[in-house]
Amino acid sequence: MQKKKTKKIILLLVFLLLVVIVLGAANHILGSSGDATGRQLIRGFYHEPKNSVDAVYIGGSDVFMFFQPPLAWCNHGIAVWNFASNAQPFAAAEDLIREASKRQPEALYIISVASAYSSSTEAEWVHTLTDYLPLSANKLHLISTLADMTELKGAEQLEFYFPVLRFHTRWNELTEEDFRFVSNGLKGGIANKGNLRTVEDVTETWIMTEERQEADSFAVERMESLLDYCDKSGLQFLFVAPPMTKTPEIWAQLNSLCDRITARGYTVLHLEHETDVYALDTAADFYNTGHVNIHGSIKYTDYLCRYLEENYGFTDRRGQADYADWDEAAALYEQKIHRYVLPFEIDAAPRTLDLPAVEAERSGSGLFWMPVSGADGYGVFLRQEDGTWLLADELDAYEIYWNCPAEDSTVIVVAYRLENGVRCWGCFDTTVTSTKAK
Amino acid sequence: MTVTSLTFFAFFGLSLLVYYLLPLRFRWILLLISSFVFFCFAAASPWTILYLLGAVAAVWLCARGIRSALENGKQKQAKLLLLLGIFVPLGLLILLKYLGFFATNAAAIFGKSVTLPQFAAPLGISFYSLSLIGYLLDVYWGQCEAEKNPARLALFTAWYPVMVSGPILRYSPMKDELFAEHRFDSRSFCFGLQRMLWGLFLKLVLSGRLGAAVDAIYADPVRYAGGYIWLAAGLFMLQLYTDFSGCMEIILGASECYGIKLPENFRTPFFSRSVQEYWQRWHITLGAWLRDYLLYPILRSGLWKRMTKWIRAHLGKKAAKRIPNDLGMLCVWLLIGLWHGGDWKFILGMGLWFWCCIALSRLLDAPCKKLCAKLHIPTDSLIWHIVQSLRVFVLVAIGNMFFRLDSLSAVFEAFRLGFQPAQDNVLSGTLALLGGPADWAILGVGLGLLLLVSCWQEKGSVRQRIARWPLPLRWLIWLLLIAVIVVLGAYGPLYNAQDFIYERF
Repeated sequence: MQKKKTKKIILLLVFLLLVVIVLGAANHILGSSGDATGRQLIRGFYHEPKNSVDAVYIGGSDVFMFFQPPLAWCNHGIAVWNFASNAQPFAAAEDLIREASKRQPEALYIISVASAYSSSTEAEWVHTLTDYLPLSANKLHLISTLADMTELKGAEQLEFYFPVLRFHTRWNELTEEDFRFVSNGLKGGIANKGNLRTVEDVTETWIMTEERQEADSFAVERMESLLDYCDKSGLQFLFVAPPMTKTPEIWAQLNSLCDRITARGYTVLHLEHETDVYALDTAADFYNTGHVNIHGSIKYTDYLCRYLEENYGFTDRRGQADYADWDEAAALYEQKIHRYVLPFEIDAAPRTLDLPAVEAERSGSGLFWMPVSGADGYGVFLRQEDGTWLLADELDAYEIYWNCPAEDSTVIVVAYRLENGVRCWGCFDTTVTSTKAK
Repeated sequence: MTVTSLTFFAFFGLSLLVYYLLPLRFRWILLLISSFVFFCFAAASPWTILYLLGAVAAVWLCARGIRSALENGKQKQAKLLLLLGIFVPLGLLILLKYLGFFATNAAAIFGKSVTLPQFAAPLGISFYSLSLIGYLLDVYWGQCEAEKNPARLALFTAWYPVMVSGPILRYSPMKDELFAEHRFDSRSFCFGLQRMLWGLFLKLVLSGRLGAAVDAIYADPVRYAGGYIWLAAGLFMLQLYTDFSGCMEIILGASECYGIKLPENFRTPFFSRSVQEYWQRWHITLGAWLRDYLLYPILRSGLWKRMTKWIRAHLGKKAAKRIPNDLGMLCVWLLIGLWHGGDWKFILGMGLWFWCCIALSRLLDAPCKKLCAKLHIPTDSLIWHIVQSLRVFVLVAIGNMFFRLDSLSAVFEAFRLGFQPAQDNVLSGTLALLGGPADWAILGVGLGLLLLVSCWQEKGSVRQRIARWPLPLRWLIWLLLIAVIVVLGAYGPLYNAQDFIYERF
């Protein structure tokens, strides 16, 4: 009788284990919204070798849309990982640092304060972060912290622990990436239609204030808790206030929270106040009110890297055998953005990226191209021996042919449009406008 | 708190755990507490439990009074107490659920406008009211003892799995189940869980998908005219069955986990050869209740006896056998229609339509048999069975259009559109868009599985059949079913999951 009972109990336990395995597998495969940013930045973090990055940058889209790690590597040889996710709540920072420091204990932790004022979030933004973290005590603590900030209450919050409850609807749109991590090879670099091709003038909404206003108690409590943790952790920290358009009230609350950080002996890099120093143009360098476009992020990344080099003594790691994949990421990123990035000579001029790149072809001793719809004219730039570009000719909209002065010159033809009498340059492509004989 | 929600499963698991940890004699008290807690959480307002408690108190008092009056030979007093006892749950039912219907119709007849107070209808009132009335009649007829303990009667009335969608209980068999000292029985426990799993499959995987297609068609009947209207009617039949029987499987399975067996409410109704047989296999406890507590008393009543006598004298023996019976049935069917809701569409579609079908089939039964014999149709063959079942399916599907559509005018409009040409052919790409080809494939496989299980059910217990299979195969089936429900089920915040159709009756 006893033997039969024991057998039954063992069978029950084995069956329960199998049920857990089945549910665990379903939760693993279907347990996320398929958010590309979460996959690359959060899940991708765990595919970096331990103790390999110089800095870990934590925050929301104000991190990954502003700071482009491939550019930081390409121009400065600094390896920075954006441990960031869409609309990431500031309350996540403490648990994320705990989690990240398990793999990167010697890195500098850069923390964005952009959302430090906020005491609420949406379920979707919790999922885009937590669904991509591996199971750990930090993840569970993070979920319990963030779940209460959402609109979901009680049993509804179970979907954060078992995201399959929410995302099982994706069963007919599964891809390889749902089964295993597939890197896009950009080390967190973002190059999409939005940040490459769009320009929005945010000058009107660009409001800064030196005012101070106390943030709500939840925000203050989270900030103090994070600073307490920073004191105890033995890690290095840098807080960053990115240049974003926010209301004066929010800036006043952020200023007040930044005061708390500096009062505890930590540095806050006010990149929103130093836009003149790194020539961030509110008319040309943003693609919407909250985010810079590729031109803005080039300036932002360069400025922040210079600050890191000067203040944290980061050395150039380019060429090191262990970092070959960073070289590849930088090259790939360059390839993705080059047709949208202007040469230095016209970089400071206004842009209108909805004018596509001119695709010129060699024809006899000159160049011929199809007219670009909406263009008021074309500029022809000649590449100099030192690599800089010279505006060699200006053509009207009806002119679509240009005689080259030399057989082996490299030329870029860029369409422009006149807006209020100001010439705004469109996109260009350096790969198709060489006049060198093929 | 629907029976497919995580809250329900958390509640169920906790209640079950405490139940088996308690000493045997206290377990029914835990069931009572669980039922009250469930009612307060699941009802539109927790205060509506007062209606239930009021009805239980009145019925308990009246049943005790009836018993004592009958023992003392006071027949009249017993009858009075019976009427009073019936009046309380029936009055509450009419007041809370049908007052609007009666008042609006009365106002329309007398050409007056009426403003009615809004009452929150208590959870399960249609089910427990009938159970209480049945109990009172059983006591009056001496078929069961009057319960001494009002708390026990309260448990019989409020047993929480039943609150969702029935079945309608009878006191005599249920008291043995509810108050017996059930020891943990792993087999019964596993059977209960398996039954719940099957119910979840029916509701979440099949009913949810069928509902999406039906809703899409009926939301735009002008576009989906012609064949689509009849397709939606057929799909709604399947939706209603997978929804209601799925809910029943969960309820009966949950109850079985406690060791309490509830009466079956379905017996493969789509295998019926006639509409009458269909209603003996569909919502069995409602049909049986109406037969025992309404039809038989009507047929035995003095009025009916006098009517039978008069018909025999004036219209002959055959008519005397048929007409009183059909009129009794008419009363029952009108009540079935009304039970489904206070609206003429229910009275016509769920009542009168089925009565007409049954009465007509009885009338045509003999000529049809003769015709079949003349045409040498093998009436015992499978093919003939399938033809008859399809005929029943079509007739019931037409009746259920009254159930599904919003109003009588919408039903008649759908009938009209059903004979108009469709803007798209039924087999065109639009059909695939209603749920996507993958969803239709799942539906096809799922309905095939349901047909297979139904065929097995006709031959005996499916669970016992599966229990005889080798362990790895059994485990594979249950694990697969769990995975299918979790992955393909229509639940969660991104699905517009529908409530059970028979919920809150």
